[in-house]
Amino acid sequence: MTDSLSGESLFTEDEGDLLGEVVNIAMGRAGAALAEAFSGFVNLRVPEIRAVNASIIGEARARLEHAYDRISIMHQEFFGELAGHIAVIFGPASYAALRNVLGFDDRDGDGRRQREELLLELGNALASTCVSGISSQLEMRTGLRAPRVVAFDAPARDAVQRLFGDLPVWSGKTLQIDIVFHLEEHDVPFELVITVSPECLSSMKRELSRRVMG
Amino acid sequence: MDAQQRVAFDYPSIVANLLTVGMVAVDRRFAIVVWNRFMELNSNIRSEEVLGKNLFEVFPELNRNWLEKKIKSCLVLKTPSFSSWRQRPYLFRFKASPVLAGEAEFMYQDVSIFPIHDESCTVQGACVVIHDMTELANAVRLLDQTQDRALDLEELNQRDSLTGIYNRKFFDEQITQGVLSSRRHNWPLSMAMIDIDHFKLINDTYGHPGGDMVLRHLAARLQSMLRASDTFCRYGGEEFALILPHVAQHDARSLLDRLRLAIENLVIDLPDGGQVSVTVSVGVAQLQEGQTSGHLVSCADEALYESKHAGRNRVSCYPIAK
Repeated sequence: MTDSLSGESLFTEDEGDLLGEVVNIAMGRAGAALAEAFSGFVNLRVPEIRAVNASIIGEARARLEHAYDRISIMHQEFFGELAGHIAVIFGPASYAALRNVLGFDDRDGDGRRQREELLLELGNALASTCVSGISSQLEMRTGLRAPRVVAFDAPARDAVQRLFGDLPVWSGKTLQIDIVFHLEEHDVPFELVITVSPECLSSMKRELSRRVMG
Repeated sequence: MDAQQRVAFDYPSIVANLLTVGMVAVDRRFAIVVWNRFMELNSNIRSEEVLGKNLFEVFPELNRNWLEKKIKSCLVLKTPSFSSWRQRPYLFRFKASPVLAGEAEFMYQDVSIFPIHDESCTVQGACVVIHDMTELANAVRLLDQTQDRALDLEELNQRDSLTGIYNRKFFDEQITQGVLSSRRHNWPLSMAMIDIDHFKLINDTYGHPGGDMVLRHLAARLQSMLRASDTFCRYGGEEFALILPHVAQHDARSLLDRLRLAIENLVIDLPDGGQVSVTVSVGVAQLQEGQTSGHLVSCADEALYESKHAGRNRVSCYPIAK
């Protein structure tokens, strides 16, 4: 997986390998913290790290539209020395299962707002643990903005259109980390896509290179 | 030498005096350790009254299960957590500024929660930050209302006020669109002009209220027999126009014959207690290659004239068989 990184010359082979390690450690810690915070959680697969260019959007759209009928999408931005976007894509979710995992009672009912809130809560927990894990290991400061629901149980085509319509357009290559996670006893996987802003790639490369040398 | 060593600032007072943002810090047992000026002034509770007390005992109206769970997961994950006024209008029920509030009965709030740690970096509590979002919430509400009204107006603008069906203006737009897409996709398009026979006689006999009643009942009856994709309009006076996308002339004719028969069998109750029946004459035309919407309407008109000429209460098609 890191081959594609060095192969596309974003990073050297050593830097790419180190980044793979950094991300794996960050995910390991995230998984442990999430398991401690929420019961019945979670099952992170080995993340996939890729150098991508803007054309990936077309592929991603086609894949999501093919994979799902209806989806919900949460979007969250992180900014600072390490900056970028996180999208969490939820397939058909069992809100009862989510509520159990998050430990919220039913006092506030089961309307759309309550369901959106469950997605935001879970999405933010995943996004913030993953991003802060990477930022602390690379010693790049970052902050998360509040998450928002881009689409709620919308036809995949519309949801994806809204997500990519909102994102800034970039040229050249950037870094994307795909993480798939499961809730225990919950068949449907959720997908987390972290896209690093191209502007921070040079300082990320510097941090990686410093660690490779050191 | 850093600033802290040079000047003996009262650092806690910086946060304590913060007026634009609410800050409440609690320790692991939810005892309040910071209660800033924003919180004091909005809650009317001074910090000395709440410091050291359990947050949920001072504010029993807080949703304890939710907030406790949220703060706890923030402590374990060591990452910030958020709540938006869009999903949860407020955390603390405060009065909104009367200037910003509009119709809001309370202050809309965004909430962010982040872990706070001691000098050895052990997480010891959480800080709850409250942002007043009333102005934005109000603006969004006004925007939604305006959009709804604009949609209502647009809808209203397309309707005939007497019968409630589409008006002439809408017909003109739709027939132009219909001709364009029929050409582009190469599907058939038919239309019909429908005119009430001897309508002047009805007005003369029963007065305008009687005439209006006939127009309303007839429009409702015809509309109920059409598909959602058909556009049925009051063209003017006692004349109606019908656009039939994806329908060739032969099928249009059968449909219009059914409509004509339905009107013939319709008994209309009048305001004065009497009853009346009417008939309609119909002209049908199908869009031909190279025709504009104007041509198409003229052809249907010509067929309608033929129906009138041949004795009324009938359907004629263009071109007229001589």
